[in-house]
Amino acid sequence: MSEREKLVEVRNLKKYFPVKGGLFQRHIGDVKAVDDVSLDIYTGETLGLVGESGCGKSTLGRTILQLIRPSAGSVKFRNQELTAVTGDALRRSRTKMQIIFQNPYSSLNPRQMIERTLTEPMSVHGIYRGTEAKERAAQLLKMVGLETYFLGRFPSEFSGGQRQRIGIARALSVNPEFIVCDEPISSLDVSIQSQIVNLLKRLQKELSLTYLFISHDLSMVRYICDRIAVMYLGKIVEQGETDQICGNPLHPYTQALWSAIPIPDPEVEEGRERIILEGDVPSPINPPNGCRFCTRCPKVMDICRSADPEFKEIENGHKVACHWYTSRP
Amino acid sequence: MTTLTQTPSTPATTSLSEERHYAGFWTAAWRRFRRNKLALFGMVYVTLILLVAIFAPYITKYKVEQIFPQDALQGPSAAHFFGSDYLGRDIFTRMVYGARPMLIVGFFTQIFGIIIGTTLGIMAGYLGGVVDWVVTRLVDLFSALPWYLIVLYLVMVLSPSLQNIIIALSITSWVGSCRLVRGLSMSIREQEYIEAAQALGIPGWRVVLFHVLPQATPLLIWAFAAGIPGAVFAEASLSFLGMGIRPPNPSWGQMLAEGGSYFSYWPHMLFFPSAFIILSVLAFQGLADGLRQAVAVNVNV
Repeated sequence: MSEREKLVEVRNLKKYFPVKGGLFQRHIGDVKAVDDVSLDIYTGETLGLVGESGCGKSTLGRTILQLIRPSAGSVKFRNQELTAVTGDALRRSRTKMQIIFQNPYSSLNPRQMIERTLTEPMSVHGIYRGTEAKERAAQLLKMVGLETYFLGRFPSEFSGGQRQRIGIARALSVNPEFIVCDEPISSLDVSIQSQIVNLLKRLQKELSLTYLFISHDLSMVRYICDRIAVMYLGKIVEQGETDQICGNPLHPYTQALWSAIPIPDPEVEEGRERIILEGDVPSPINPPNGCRFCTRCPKVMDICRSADPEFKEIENGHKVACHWYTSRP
Repeated sequence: MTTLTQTPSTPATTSLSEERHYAGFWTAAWRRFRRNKLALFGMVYVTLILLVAIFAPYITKYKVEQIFPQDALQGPSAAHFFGSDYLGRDIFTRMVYGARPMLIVGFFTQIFGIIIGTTLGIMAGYLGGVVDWVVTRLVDLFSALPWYLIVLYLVMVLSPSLQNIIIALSITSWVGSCRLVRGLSMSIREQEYIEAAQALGIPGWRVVLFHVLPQATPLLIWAFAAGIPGAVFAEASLSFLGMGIRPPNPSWGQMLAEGGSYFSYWPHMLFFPSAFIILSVLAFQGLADGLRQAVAVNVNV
């Protein structure tokens, strides 16, 4: 377990988006989209990142890829500091890490033939050129379960699921090691979702890929991920092996999330007690003092409103940021 | 059951290159264009007038500056289709040659205007920030000043000639396409495929050239056609004021001005230039309108 190789190492990563307002566009605050996040992603695993809409999951994924430059903190890929890399060097390092997008309808250039979409990144990075690139593109389409004659078509001729497969093929065109899957299945039909998830799993095995799987579909995350990190208002509140997070959720927020999954058995469902969270997610511009979850937490204590809980390991590899486990008298 | 599985929707032969295709973007655009009758008229008229301007010496047997003093101020006849003017010049010949400056001014001002406008607009929209601020202020400045006065002033300063009309009109005609392209590239910048291109490490200039610009081309084609009537009109009106094409070289605007003074006795001198100016502006406008309809729809089914 402990000898696993760290592929991505994120330390104290912060991304604040400035909010401007008033007469002279003064800086009046920050949206703390990602606030002091640390996590490790090991080679060959799938790390699930779950949380409500707007909690900063996608921003975290994009900040790791340096598509959004972080405000503070460090991201290391194979012990290479990415936040220090700029310009052309950063552009060349993009082959190592890729992203699959949520919306397959806006993530493909509508004026570009599939062949061009797949071969352009190869030729830009000098991986393959000319007919070699075309053969490789055909091979990629086969790998994601599409026909090779689709190369001469435009994105408008495909369904959502097919487009998502093309998006996956495009991400694979530069032979990456690490892929951020930014809710790749949430805009697809349920029947297509499982196909795409199984495709991702198969590709991971064949190409020994590492995934950061961002999603709000908890049952899917449980199915595909080796480890799970739970995010709330820009912070990671709990992290651990899938079995730990699913079997023994520690943070009250995680417990509430799991209890929201419907169980397809009416008898179990009837006897089950649900944790229903009160109120809305507070604004990330002005998060509550102390623990960020204290405004909605069913187990809130006095200390929660004043002190930020520490992110601590409770059992082997299972970390949680909650005063209930660390400072309970 | 077996008959159901044998529906023709399953292609029997699927080779790598050739296979059933949906209408491509430009095919679909042509279908939409065909439906607009005014646009079709515009296209036919523009093609005809282009051919006339190019092959002018073969169409008329007279020279532009040729004078027939005995035939001065005659109405349309077999010898002079559109009649003749006060010096006895053949109006048909002068109309045919007069199409040249009109088309040259129309096309070149639009080409230069679109090149300047697209470059500035795409930079402003895609890069944003300071570049955007500067370009926007420039656009504001040029929109606030009356363009016709700028053109008139520039032509006066530079001395009236074909080349200077094009320069003066180009300086003012980039504003529209710049504003258009800026808005479009601002919205394209937010699309995920641009982010995907950045994530794939495609260089910035390639992103602009191959991912942003192609989305703007249909709009630019329309803007090109839509700007021509304005340029045609500007050329005619400058020549009308004596600030355009200098005699003896003919121009429709100049002929209109001459016709104006003989209008009450010999209306044909006024009729032909004005009719063709109106017709040309209308035809280009119709063509532009058809192009706009043809390319406005982004999805093809």
